[in-house]
Amino acid sequence: MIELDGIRHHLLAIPWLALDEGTIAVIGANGSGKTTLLELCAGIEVPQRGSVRIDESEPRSCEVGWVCEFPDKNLLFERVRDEIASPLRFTFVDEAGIADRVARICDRLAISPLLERRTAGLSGGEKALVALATALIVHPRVLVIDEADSHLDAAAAQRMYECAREVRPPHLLFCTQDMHRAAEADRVLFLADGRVGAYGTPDDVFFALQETCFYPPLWRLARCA
Amino acid sequence: MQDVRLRVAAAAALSAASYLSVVGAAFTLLWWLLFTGREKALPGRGVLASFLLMILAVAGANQLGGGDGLSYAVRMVPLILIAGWLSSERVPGELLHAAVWLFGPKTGFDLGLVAEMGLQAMGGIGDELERMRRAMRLKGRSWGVRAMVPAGLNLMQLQIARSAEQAQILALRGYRRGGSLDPVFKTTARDSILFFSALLGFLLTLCGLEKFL
Amino acid sequence: MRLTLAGVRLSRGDWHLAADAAFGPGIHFVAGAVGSGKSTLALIMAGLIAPDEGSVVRRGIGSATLSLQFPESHVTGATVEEEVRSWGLDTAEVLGQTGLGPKAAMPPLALSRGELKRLELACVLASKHEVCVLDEPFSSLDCAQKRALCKRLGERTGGITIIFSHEQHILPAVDVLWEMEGGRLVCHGRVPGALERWGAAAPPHIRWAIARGMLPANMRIEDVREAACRTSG
Repeated sequence: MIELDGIRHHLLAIPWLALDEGTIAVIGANGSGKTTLLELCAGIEVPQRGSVRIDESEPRSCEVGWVCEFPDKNLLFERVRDEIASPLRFTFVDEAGIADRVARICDRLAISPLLERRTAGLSGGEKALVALATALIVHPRVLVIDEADSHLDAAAAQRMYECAREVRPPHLLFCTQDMHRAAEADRVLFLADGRVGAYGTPDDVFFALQETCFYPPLWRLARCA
Repeated sequence: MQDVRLRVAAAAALSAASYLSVVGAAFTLLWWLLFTGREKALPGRGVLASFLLMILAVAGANQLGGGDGLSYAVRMVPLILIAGWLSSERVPGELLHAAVWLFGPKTGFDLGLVAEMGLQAMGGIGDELERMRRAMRLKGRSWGVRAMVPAGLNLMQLQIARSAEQAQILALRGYRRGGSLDPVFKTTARDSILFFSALLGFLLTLCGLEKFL
Repeated sequence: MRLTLAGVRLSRGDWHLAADAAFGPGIHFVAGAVGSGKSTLALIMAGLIAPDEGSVVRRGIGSATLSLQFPESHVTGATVEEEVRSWGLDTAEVLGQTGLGPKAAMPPLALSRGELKRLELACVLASKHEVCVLDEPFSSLDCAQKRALCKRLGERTGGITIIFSHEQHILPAVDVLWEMEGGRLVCHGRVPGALERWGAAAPPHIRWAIARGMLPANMRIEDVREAACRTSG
């Protein structure tokens, strides 16, 4: 469980929130605090007031994987192999261990053919998968995908999320503007002006949002037909 | 040259030879003509033109001030050619290997990481400037001297923002200081020949190559 | 008024782009996957890059503008206000429209991704050009902002508007539908007939309607809902 207690941080004001294990879609208007919330959960930011605990530990003592919105901004190295291996190098894993884990994660995400390529020459979808592999190679407790589907087409975005769900990190938090993708999560968290508007199953949350543009468009059609 | 250690050492030797004397510069130019890709090894036209202009300006000032500007120009040009060749042969990641080999997994890894990321950033600056040029064109503005100051400011802001993002990514990936890396180098017979020829040229220049001609 | 791509070809290694097309007045929607060449074609149409072969012919067109996919690519001003002025626009009007008045003195790159996108889109749409090309205008926007953009696009009269997008849900009403298929620009024709020719990459609500034998008046979700309600009612 991810517990947010008495949070006051920039525009975020959350008296108490417990996020269950599994996949959680974080939705809301731009500027509603989605990325700020994710940054608190990942330990990137420390709350100005209140606390965040991940399974009763500090976020900064947990392994966290992060995939950000823009494909290029995730990439530090010029070669795919160096990029994916980097978290292991930074934590002094030995070469044999690195080679083995890089091979396994690439195999799992079916991106082994990309290993010797330059990151600059990859397509947007390939960059997203490389970023995902880099995030997953440390077996994160929390995997955050911050609107990475915004600059991907439907097929590439679907592939990225399927890969993430298949690996099943304990906590998968993702921001998206695609409400159908959000509806596939275990839980949906809707933020409005820095506050929790709704949190629960997709059915419950979207029922509360049916008069807003956050209601999945195809669900509206299905009601009509 | 595949071995970055020998390549950098050869470049250092040739640069020193070129700097030391006109005959050393001639040797370096000959080495460049014989052993590099020539046009393929040249820096971009804009970069080359900028450097040549700078050399000519300094040489001219030198000459006007009573110094030997011509000798300066003749000695500096091969240096630029060697720098261009060194840059054209760069393979991503090799600087990290070289730095760890030289300085170890803590300091070497840090220095190598800074070098790799720095060179990447420099490579990106050309793209950023092209993007700004296009942005000016879209706004019906000319890409002239007046555009340079705001362009420079924006470039700085972009680089600062990018650095902050990279720092965040590094921290998220567990980077604190140093890292594990077993440096790997591929050294061919050609590498050794080219390195020793460069070293020979430097040593002969040091001893006064003219005496041997 | 006509924008013609005559034998336009461009290659980068294994990747090829081909376009033989003519765009008349109205709103054109070019669909296609990321990496299909939409952004490159947008740059060619706006005259910012030259094709390897062929030409872009402008008849009755004074000027063209382009909204780039990543709004940072537009930034030339040191502040938000300067940025609006760099487009030659009235700062009060644009800042009022986007709600960015309080941030006028901030550097544009300090704005959030959505704010910067809205700012640059507002500037592009406010500037007077016969041809307006929008490359992925919906990315980085939330659903309310996408709706507002669709409304703004619907209010455009005259000129040629070309929208390149992989957006699947919140779409504007358009006149002509195009698609990038294997690096080639293909015209599906005028909407609504073109909707039936849209391939497997069509938005889910369009596929939903076509699969049920409905032909919506346009590609917006409300058009599909209207067609569905007509059919069931």
